[in-house]
Amino acid sequence: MDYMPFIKGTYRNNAFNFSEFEESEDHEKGFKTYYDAEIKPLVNRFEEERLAILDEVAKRVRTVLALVALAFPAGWWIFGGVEGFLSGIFAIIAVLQFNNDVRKWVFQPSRRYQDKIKDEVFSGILKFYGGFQFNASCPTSIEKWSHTGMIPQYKVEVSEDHIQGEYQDVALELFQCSLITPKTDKDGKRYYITEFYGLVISLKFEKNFQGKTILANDKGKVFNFVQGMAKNEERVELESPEFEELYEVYSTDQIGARKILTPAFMEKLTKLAKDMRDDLPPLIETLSKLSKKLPGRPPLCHFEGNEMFVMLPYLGDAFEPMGLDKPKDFVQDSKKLLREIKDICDIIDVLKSSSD
Amino acid sequence: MEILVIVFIIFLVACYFWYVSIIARKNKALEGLSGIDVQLKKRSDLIPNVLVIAQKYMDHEKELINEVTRLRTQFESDYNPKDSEQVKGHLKSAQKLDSLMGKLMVNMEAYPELKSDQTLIKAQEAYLDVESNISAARRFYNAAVTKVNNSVQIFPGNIIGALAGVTALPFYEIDEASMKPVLATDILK
Repeated sequence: MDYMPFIKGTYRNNAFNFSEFEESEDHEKGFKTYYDAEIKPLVNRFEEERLAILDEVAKRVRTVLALVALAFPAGWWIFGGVEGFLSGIFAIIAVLQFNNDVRKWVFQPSRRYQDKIKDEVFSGILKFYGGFQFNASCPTSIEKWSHTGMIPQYKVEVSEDHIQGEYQDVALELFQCSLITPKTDKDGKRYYITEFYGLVISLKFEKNFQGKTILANDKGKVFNFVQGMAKNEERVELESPEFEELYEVYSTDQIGARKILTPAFMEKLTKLAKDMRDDLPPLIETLSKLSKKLPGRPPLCHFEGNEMFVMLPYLGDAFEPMGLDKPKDFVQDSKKLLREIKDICDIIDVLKSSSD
Repeated sequence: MEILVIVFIIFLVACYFWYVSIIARKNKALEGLSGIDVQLKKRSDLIPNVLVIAQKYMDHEKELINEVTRLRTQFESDYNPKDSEQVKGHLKSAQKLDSLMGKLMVNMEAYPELKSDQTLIKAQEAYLDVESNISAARRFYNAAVTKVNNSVQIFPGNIIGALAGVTALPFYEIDEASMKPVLATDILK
């Protein structure tokens, strides 16, 4: 969000100027009726709240401006002359220097409002997809899957946007997760390494997989050899050279692994990994080739019992509501969320085909 | 002289490791073959269930049913997994059985009472599950065979392999009928 509409006083323009939901894409079919029945009744209440929140933000912006403006006469009164003028300049520099903290305080009410939208509206929108439960905060932790041996070393886990439900007879659980390790450089400056950022997906099927199969990243001959030595499972060599370029497969059951990794599934997974890489902005793509820690790597998978666990490196910040600068009719929010869920369902369709 | 001895020792060590890798690969292929056998045995055990139900309804398919029964008995006879000719024969009879069972399953589609028989539906499901296991086991076996064959057909592996008594192993290929293109006109006529 920007300060200017609050300084100019135009932030209330277009209030209650709502638009209608139009079905323009295939995956939106049937949503208009659902929107009119379930989402539209929430619109007025949320719009009133949006305006109240914007008023609160405007009040905070005015407070910051008043404090800066007051610094000039206060400085002149305390120090007088040039020093007084300089203390006013110093106040402006202080606001700019601590811009992040100032912004955080000024826009804090809007973040609470965004969380409320996630809890009340997004969970409503997701019910359209056959009873998905949405929780903006994450009630579970990636540690639940520590037994898979796929989770990298990290210090801090930040997880949010938890979705649980059933998709085409498969029990689904997914959430957005970032795993971070704080470090300190030689000068004592703190910096952060993102070990993983993306979606964590668990699919539970009716049938059990044979043995335990892991799809790890291909790290080149030497690292693959070291990686293989550390594993109890045996390496599985597969026929697809493209797939072998992306993955190193380990399993306790050679036949079970091949039952999952059929030629059709390998082809779909290879395509998915390539599509995800092609979607990366060019700079990130270059970086991802240099550092394997960045997104653009293929999804990591673990099959055991009746569960398929996937760590999907993903660049976008999904499930975030649109800004507060437009009237809250949730039309664009719905479209964005439906698109994101559709993309995720497409990915799940590919992953699910492992048990077909 | 000393250099010659050192070179000779290095040569012997290299030959030994080559020999070890050939034997390890051969054992892997035998493991793959036994994996196929386990699945083929499972399928063989399922065949009587399917045949008993089929016999009740499929009077016109007696010849096919008898042929399946004969091949099943032939398939169950013992063979030596270390003899590549016997392995070839064993896999060939498995292919034939596979092909005939496929034909039987297709012909069953023409008998509505048979199609709705719950016992048969369950037997068919179990049969399809075993079929997908066989397909996975075949891929494992063929991958292992490729490694054995590469190591005993490329010099000096061919000499070491001959000394160790390891010869190229046969692949488990799908039957010729399955490789032919499917003509929609044949099915829809």
